[in-house]
Amino acid sequence: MTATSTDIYSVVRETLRANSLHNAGTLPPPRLHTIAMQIGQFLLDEQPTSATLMGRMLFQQGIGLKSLLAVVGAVQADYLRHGEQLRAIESYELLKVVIESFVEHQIAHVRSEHDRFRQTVGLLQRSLG
Amino acid sequence: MEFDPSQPNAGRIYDYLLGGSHNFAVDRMAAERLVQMIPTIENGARLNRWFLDIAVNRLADLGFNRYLDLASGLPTQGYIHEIRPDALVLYNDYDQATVAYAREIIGNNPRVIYHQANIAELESILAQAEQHFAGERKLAICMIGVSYFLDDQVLSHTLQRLYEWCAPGSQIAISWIALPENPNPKLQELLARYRAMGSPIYARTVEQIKQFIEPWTLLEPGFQRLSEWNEIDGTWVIEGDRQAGDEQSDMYGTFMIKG
Repeated sequence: MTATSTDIYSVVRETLRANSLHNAGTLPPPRLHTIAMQIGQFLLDEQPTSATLMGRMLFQQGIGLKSLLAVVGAVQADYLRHGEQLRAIESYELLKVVIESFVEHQIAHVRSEHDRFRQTVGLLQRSLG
Repeated sequence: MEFDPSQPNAGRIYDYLLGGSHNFAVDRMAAERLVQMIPTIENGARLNRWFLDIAVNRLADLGFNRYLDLASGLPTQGYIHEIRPDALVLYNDYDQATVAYAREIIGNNPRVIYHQANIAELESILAQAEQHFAGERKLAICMIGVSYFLDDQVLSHTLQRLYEWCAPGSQIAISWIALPENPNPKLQELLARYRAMGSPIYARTVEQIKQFIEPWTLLEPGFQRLSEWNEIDGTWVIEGDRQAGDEQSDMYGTFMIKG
């Protein structure tokens, strides 16, 4: 039995929905179906978009790390349930790069925001004497 | 004016609860204490912020390009000027430190103004709105995460005065907390904690809330739970706070129009 694009899309969508409260304030759950389609397409593409770019995009859209990790687990489980060990391994390798990229961008963003925050606080303190 | 980064600030605490980075260790510690006391506070913050996103986009789809946002806090984590960069926006908050910092976050953007005033000083806010929106009074107004911190008198006056002041066709998006008339002990404890923090929550049933709405006209779909607006199964997850058989205790989002 082979996992179809509909299966994977459904698995990703339902996992994202179940974890929606782990996402950022910038990502209302009604937008998750679009992201689920992007992830599903990414997993099924013969020549997928760069995993690094996917990690950045998911971070920028407000997906939480817990949500992303839940998707990885759910996708693996679904492939294994369908007896597709090879696809489970391939998708894991792909999603590992996505997660690494996601975390890199998250760290860079937090550092940049903290720098900006400190600068702003410094400006405020100077302006207030 | 006081700006003491060694003291927790409500706006920065809220930013932390939403997963933002505009906060200090002292804010994060205060937020974690709050979460320990009120575990649902993070979910509530997210549901409110997501409803703001839904509201702004719904209003923009109707052609609104002028937004008056009341009791805004820090405009981070997906606020109005980020959702709709082309819109004219007037934010307001009473807290000096929040306003000063918010102005720095917004930067030099002539489309966005952050005005310092208590929501009870509505005339000051409306005077600023008159200026910023160049006399155009057909506005989209947002009161998200605010109504339940206002006592009956201020809430009633605010909604009445906004209705008088706005042009016909103006719309207002509001989030509410509806609570049972006779809260159970756990809910009473939660309300007491908010009072102790200096931010009392005014418990109202849906029926009581509806009395504040007139003369605004409630738009479809009426009183809808924030969890439903956000397509989340279940409710606001006030574990243990819901009274048996009380189906109305939850957070709601509404849209109203001046006809």
